[in-house]
Amino acid sequence: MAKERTRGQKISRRAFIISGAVIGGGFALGLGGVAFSNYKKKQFSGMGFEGAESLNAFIHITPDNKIKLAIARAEMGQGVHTALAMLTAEELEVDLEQIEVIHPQVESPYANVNLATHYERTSSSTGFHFMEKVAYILPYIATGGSTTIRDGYEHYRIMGASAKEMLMKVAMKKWLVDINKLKAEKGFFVNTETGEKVSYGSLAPFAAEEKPNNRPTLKAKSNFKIIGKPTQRIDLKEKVTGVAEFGIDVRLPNMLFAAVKHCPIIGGEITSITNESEVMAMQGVKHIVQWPTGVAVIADNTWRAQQAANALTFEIDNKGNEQLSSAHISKLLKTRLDKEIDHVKEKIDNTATALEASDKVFETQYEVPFLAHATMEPINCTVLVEEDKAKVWVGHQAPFLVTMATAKEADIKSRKVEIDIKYLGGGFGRRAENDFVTEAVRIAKAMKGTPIQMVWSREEDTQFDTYRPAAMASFKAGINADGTISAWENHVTLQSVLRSSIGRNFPLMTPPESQDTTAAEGALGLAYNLGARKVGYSFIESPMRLGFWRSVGHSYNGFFTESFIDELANEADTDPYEFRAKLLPSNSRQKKVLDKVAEISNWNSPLPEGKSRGIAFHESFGSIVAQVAEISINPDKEFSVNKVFCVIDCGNYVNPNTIIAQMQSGIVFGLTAAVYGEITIEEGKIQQSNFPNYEMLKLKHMPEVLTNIMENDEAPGGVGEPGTPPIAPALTNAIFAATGERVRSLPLKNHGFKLV
Amino acid sequence: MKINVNGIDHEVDVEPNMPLLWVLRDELNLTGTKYGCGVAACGACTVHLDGQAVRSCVLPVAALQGKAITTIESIAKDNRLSRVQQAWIDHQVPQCGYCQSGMIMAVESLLNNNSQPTEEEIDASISNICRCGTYQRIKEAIKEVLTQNQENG
Repeated sequence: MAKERTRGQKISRRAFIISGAVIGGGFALGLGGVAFSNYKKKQFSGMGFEGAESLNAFIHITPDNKIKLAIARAEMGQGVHTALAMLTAEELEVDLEQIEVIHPQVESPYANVNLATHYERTSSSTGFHFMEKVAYILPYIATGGSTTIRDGYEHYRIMGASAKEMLMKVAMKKWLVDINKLKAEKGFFVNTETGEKVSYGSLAPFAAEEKPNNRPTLKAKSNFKIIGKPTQRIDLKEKVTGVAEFGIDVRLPNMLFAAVKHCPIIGGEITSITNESEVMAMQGVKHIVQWPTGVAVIADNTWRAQQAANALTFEIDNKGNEQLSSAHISKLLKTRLDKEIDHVKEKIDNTATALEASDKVFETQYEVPFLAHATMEPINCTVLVEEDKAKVWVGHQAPFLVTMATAKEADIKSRKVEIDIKYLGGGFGRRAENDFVTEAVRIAKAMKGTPIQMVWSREEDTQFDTYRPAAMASFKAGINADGTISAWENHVTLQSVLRSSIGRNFPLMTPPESQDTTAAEGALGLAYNLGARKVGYSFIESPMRLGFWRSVGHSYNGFFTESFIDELANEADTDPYEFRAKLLPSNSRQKKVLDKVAEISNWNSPLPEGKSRGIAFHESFGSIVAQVAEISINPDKEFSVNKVFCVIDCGNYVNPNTIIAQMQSGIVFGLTAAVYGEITIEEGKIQQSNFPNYEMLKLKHMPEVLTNIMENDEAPGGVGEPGTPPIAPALTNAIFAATGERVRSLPLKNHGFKLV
Repeated sequence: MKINVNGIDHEVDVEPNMPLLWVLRDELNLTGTKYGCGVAACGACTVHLDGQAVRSCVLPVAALQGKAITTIESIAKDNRLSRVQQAWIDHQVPQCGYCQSGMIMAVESLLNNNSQPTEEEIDASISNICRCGTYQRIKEAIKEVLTQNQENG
């Protein structure tokens, strides 16, 4: 054991220095002048890569020619393990079957620089460079913001190409041949003169001594054999046989299970348990752990723990929130909405003057409710706390938060925290939070030396979520007689997601109100020509815990803006597609996407009685998406979504299979919210608890989604989130086209509409 | 208490009202069957009881004496995927994959009992929840198995 560790560390130090150099490829990527020296000296453990030769921090080759590929990104159904493996395989010239994905520890080479600097790109370069540095120092290992491919598209190719060069140098020396006599294929070099073959695995120990080139020549797009081609996912066999291990599936010797009950009053606290001895006497119960917002029962089986937790009775301190209700929050939003904008984030010319000069002024307001994430795998985390160290098994989107939260709660050094990141049974932003990790560590700390798996019941998962905020928007626009827009005012009110989420997870980084870049995302910088503009947001305060929910600000602003544009088209007596097309710059990527969706949906063809179409268009996370929903609806407001035509421009892409899947996925997610989604509050309590009252779309409701991916040579855009924002307005615009009823608040079920 | 899972008899020391799901997951470490809701609403916990799909999260273990329980772990025989599992891969159905054990068990049971279900029968029978929204590819995969059924007479 001791011997292995020494060997592992020897490899690692070398690998890290190499990786530092290769990461210097960041310069080539235009990531800017980061001084790598400031994190280069940090230890890189190489954990998980024992027995393999490390050519850089990402690529580790075993003697039997397997590639252990470090991917510090959560696989939660978006297909990122496959996509990043494809990028590597393309340049390294190996088969995908040779690649085994390993989630490394929280270490600098794996930082998600793109996500860390996501909101700094358009602001100051100082902010960008600062965040870039922070990303490496933390290091910022996280999956979100649809950034995995944007961050990895060149990075993983550089790693593959650099490693291949190192292997090639050794092959050249071995056979004393020129580079043009060598051919790399499927993890072997072939000497084209003699036909001899040598595996990467046998070259790797020598290749690891070669100096890495951090700016290798990458293949031209026209030479890609894997990237951009429909490719089978590498994780599906284990996912159809029940073998895939999610966080909740971790099983360890002597492990115990914990169930949690949180204070039912939002923001309230549990002051005492009134029947502790009775619950302790229940079968299998080992221990009870109490903290201000919750209580956990540890037992020898999850069900016994749940039964015992359900039997708990306690006294609570409402913290004055027993009167909190949805109606109250809605009133706060409305009151704030009718006042001036607090944070104007986009201002072009003078809207007041432009509105005055308009032929027609139209104004209206919209509202959306709180939403839960409802990942299929309920929130869970498994922890073993020992005297001065801890290990955490969890499906998580932000392992750096896992390490920080564990170190803090267990009162140990962060380098004493080992993580094992499992598959995520859905994330959607919920698994970027550290609240449940902290709880699991707190519980495990009470029984040091025993691994404990904490699983929240579906009810706890629903009622102690970090919700998508409720939001309202007001719009006022000036329309000219020729159908153009002369002025556009948009005010969004909500509670701040960034201040709530970052305030909980990483308080030091909490932005001021004026810097919540998610609040108005999707309302700012619209591609349409809207004349004079004034767009901004104002915040309310409430005890609700908010979080990132697939597409974040775009999830509501997409609905608001595309509903309002549709209303303006109607006011201007113009076809909704023609109206939008006229507002988009000719020849722009946006216009091409919109035109394409009109083309594939046969927008101008007549539909039979009882059917209608709605169109919507939204840019988010570096991609442009347009959708047309084709619906059937009867006078009783029973409707089906028959087809959704979807066009995405995500620039250069990796796996079209994944993009098609993610468009279907984003559409189902958005439709579910539009039709059913609503978390409500009465007397300080969340009213929904489980799927029977927090409904989900099912197989019978599934529209046929027809996706078209635009071909171009633009920078990669995201695909995990951009499919979600346009579907709600596409649907409500179709409902308007059919019925003349304009739906200005979601969900549809509250307006008597029924999905059949 | 004795239960038969995937052809093997197991002696388990549990309360009679413990749902089968937790016996499988926590007592037998058969974690392919998933917990999703605990109220038979989502279908992630679907297993077969004498060949019929049932939701194991609400099924007390006492009711299972003398019955044959089949879980996702035994659907592939000798490392050979079933036709449904193979169609799932051919159509790249799973995303996060968490609901798919239950989904596959529900579909296996449907097709075992009815080799040519209509679209309405499929819609009515497969009421499992998939939060990733893999439904379209599930429909395509089922369709492929139905075509194979037809060809095989």
